[in-house]
Amino acid sequence: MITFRDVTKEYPNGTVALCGRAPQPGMPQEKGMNLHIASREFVFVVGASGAGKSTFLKLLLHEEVPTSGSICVGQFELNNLTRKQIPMYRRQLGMVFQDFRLIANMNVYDNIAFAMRVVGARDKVIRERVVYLLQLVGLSHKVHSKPSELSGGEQQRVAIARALANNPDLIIADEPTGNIDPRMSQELLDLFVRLNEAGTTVVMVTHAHDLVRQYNKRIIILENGSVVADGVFRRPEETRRQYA
Amino acid sequence: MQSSSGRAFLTRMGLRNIQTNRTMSLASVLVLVSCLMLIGLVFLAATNLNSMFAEFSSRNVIMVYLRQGLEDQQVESIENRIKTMGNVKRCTYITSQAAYDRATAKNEGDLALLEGVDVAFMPAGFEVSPERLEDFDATVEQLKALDSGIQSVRSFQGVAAQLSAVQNALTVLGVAVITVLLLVSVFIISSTVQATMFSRQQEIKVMKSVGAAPAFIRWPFLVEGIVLGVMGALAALGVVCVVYVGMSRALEPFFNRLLSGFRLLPVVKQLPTLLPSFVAVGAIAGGGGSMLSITRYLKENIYEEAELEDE
Repeated sequence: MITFRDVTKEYPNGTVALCGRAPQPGMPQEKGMNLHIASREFVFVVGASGAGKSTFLKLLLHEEVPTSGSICVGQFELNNLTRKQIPMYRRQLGMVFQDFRLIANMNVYDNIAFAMRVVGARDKVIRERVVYLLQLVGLSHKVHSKPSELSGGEQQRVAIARALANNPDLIIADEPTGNIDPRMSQELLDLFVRLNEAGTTVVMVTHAHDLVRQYNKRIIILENGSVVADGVFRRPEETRRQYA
Repeated sequence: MQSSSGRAFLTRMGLRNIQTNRTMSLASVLVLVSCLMLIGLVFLAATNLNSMFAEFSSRNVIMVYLRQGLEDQQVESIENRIKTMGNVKRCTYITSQAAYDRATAKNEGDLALLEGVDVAFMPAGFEVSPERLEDFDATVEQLKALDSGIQSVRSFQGVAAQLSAVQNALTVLGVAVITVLLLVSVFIISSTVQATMFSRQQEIKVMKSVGAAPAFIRWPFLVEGIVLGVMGALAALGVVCVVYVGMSRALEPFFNRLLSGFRLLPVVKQLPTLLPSFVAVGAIAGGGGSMLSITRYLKENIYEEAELEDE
């Protein structure tokens, strides 16, 4: 689904945002970031501020291009995307932002429908899809509410429904639990897990280390622009069970 | 493939934006009205000047007025001498009665001007058309010295030449003024739409992130700009018509006196040109202004720079 090959990113001001891992004993020197995320995988990308998470997302959204190396998402080779191909590529992605990015003067229905309308979906298709998505995120009863009338968790669920509106293959979530209380964060992560189990690839960038440790999912840890750890984190009790 | 229902939704969105941002829309229309009003008045001034020039060009004749009480033989002799002069293409005798009839026809709308004037008051004379305009002045001088029976010689050549120079200067000035005002209009619309766009960055970012094509993102802003432009154009046209009619009435006596019966063109006759021109200029200024603004916003990232600085 997603492949980074020797990707580096250096901004014009000289900031190196993505690079290869620092030389380690017994390991070959990396030219840049290398990683592969398979289709239907659920991956957490974690790291402190300045670790390169935003650059990683910008590259995935094709808002930035790598300084060197190549990125491939699905059938799209991002280095070679033409201007016209960018919208087509983004339709395969569903973006969920920390600040929800709901349009304040639109109700829940219209916020979700908006994502479909602006890509030219037909009204009948929009009606059916929005009703389905509201059921999926458990907000059918809030269809006419404005974002300001919803809690943070509810707003994020609307944002998730909107991200799913165009039936993307890949959901990219940027700190989706950043503005939400812990109980609601758990519910949201459960929702992402269900979406993943239904076949959608999920890449979630987050600070919430404690939360991600509750799931047996792959975690990529970024530090100073490079991948310093990549693997499935197992809860201690599961590890104990495994070796019992 | 973008569907027509998507386009219809975005069109409604553009119209709704005008309503949502009423104050800015009104400000934009008002400033556009003032620009277009000036453009309209410059245009009408140029049109009238053209008409005036055409009128004077058609009057490239020399009027030779005779003294009262000349004998027929004397008149005939003067006519023959004029016809045998070089540079005379045509020489037509105008009787006092014919001169009076012409004056009556010309002032049909305001016969009060001819009050107290009768046929006997109008001098008979000759209408002389010169062969070559370059020898016009020499011909006039020749006519003046031709015969003592000639009371006066009147020509419009000087006026026509001056008018031509003024027309050329005003055409250049008019084009420059219209161009500057048009650019100002584009800038105003651009600034207004940009101000409203700031509050709609969220929509633009959402549209970009879900893969809306740039043309689709531009559409509601284009609709908004064009509608504001056309509204401004129609309002400006209304103001121009009112101002022009008022000015025509106020200046009519002046033109009658100064330019021998010349009248400003009726605004109704100009509407078939003015209406589509105003609508087109308004739409271009509005649409162009919007496009200038949205293009800048389209270049902005879905992520704010602040997030990058966090890293």
